[in-house]
Amino acid sequence: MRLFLEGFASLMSFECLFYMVLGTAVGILFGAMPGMTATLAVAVFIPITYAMNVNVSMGLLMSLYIGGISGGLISAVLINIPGTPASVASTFDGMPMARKGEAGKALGVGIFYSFIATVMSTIALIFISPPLARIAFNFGYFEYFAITSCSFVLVAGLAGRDLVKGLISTVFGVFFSIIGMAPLDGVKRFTFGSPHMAAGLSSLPVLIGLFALPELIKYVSESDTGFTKLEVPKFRGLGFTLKEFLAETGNMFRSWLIGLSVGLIPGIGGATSNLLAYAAAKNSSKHPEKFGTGIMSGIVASETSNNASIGGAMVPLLSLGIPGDAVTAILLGALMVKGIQPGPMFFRNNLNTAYAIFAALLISSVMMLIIEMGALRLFVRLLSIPRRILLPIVMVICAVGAYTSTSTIFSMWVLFAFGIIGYMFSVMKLPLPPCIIGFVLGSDAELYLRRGLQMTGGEFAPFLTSSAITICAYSIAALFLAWKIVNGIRKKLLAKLSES
Amino acid sequence: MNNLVKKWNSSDEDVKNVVHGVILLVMFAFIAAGSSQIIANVSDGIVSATFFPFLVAGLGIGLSLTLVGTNLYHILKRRHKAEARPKTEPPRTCWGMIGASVLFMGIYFSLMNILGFVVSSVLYLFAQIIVLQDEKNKKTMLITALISILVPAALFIPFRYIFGIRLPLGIFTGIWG
Repeated sequence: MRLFLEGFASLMSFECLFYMVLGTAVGILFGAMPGMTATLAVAVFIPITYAMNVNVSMGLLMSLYIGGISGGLISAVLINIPGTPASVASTFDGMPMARKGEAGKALGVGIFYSFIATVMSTIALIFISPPLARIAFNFGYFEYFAITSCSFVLVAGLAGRDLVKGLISTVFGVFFSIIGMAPLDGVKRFTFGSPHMAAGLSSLPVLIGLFALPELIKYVSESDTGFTKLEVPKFRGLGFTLKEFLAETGNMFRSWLIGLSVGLIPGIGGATSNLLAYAAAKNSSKHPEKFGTGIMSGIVASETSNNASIGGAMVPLLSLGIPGDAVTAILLGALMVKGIQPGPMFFRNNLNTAYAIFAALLISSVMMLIIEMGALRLFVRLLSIPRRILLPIVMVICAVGAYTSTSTIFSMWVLFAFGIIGYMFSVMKLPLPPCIIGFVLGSDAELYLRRGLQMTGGEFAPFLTSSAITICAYSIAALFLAWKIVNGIRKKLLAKLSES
Repeated sequence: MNNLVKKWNSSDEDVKNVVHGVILLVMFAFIAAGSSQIIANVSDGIVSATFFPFLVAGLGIGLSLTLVGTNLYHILKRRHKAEARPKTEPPRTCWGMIGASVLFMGIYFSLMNILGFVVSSVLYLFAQIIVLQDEKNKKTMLITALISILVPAALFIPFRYIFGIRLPLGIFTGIWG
């Protein structure tokens, strides 16, 4: 409790609260704008955090994360386009509610349940992370390599439709992590004689390039004006009664549990959990036929589950040092810039930072509730800013972000190159998250593999059988691969049967 | 050229996957070739610095071959049954606009060393927004010019004076530096 209060106290400065309010507001705005995600919001703000102390920077980044995930609701309800993939299911009942003149209620319900879910998942994070880190403290190279490999397979299989393309994307990510000096012996690889390349690719320009630049190119290629005139919905209280709240308790807990569990698994997160929770709510409802016609339960399921994934996704990041999705991969980079390595030692060496992160998540969720409710009118207005103006501005901010990561213009060229690579990925329909996870974890995976092989004298068998953790991780990966392949064949057979 | 692009856009997904697979295969082959050029310090076989790049290239080649193979199989199976996939109208892609935007970005980063952040950003923003603008009249030009000047200034000043981060100044280093 003392640590928790200290975590709160470390964020109670004017500077920190100012950045957190700003972060929440900007996060909501990014989340609300289709094509502008929480990942982009966090990436764009990383350079500002260089000059801050670690707690203030975590306060800002957590508020951007929560705001970004929650903001997707606004456009989902008002224009039937989810601002982020995490709000897809919110459109199913959000827009029908808006058409019935209940846009205010839909937004009120979504914002309130987003808040409840974030608070509950943060509490779960506080209870799960430290014990998991204690278990992980005993992990060696074999266990870490097994968990990393398992993450690669899960993310590759779950991020896109095609398993092979997901795996190719992961392999590319791992290749990008190879560029520079090799771990252990410092041999230069794929540097083309450039001293900038010898230090390896800085993660920030790579991540921003992969996310931001393709967004601008995609917008340009579609030649859409991106201008939407929106009506400001009428608001009264939270928009629902106590009776309605009590009736949704079961749905809320189920959706929260789905969101949290999905968040814990690398590679999926809010983008999948909202659809799963919506399907579960529909299947267990007495009136499944009402789903999609504009009922509160649909919004409750979607918004509770996507925000519950935030706490879930933070668990493997903080306790194992393994990011589960793109946002947590960027957060890992931000922590490492500050000289902090998430993982089993994190709770021993940086306990204050850990509790500051927990406190930041809780404060940000309260800020999200207040700001999203209070300044909804403003967000709706800002949502009308044409993307043809906004995206070039974002590009300039990204260029600043890339530059400040190494203080060299070379980083801007890295951003540019990876922007084009990101666009090529979208043309080839290669999913981006596996590439990012591959890039972030690739060099660690190599280190674990080479160290392990040094220990075994080149023997691979101990990698598989050295402990229950390795057996478990490889079994999960193998079963998942088998399930993906069998499921693919089954779907094709079913499609053939239905054709004939 | 236009006909080629049109033909490509309207070709079915399996054909595109085969072409993409071949491109990826060539790229991974280059990575494998590059891996063989690495001069490793340690000569203890499996754990040298070349092992992991070879592993990555090998996996990439295997996966690209799988992508090509599975999609070729789909195409051949369909040909055998003499059935064609229903063609869908491809979305319109403005390649000219993409080329212009990528070119602007390239010029923007090239100018950064010479003109510095503020001036090159003003020029980039103005050019990029004007290209994306449907309506080009005096009023939109004025608004665009205003945005193009205000945004770099609004970024430069806080970064320099609040966060203490120096953005590139180029030839203006003597004046602002």
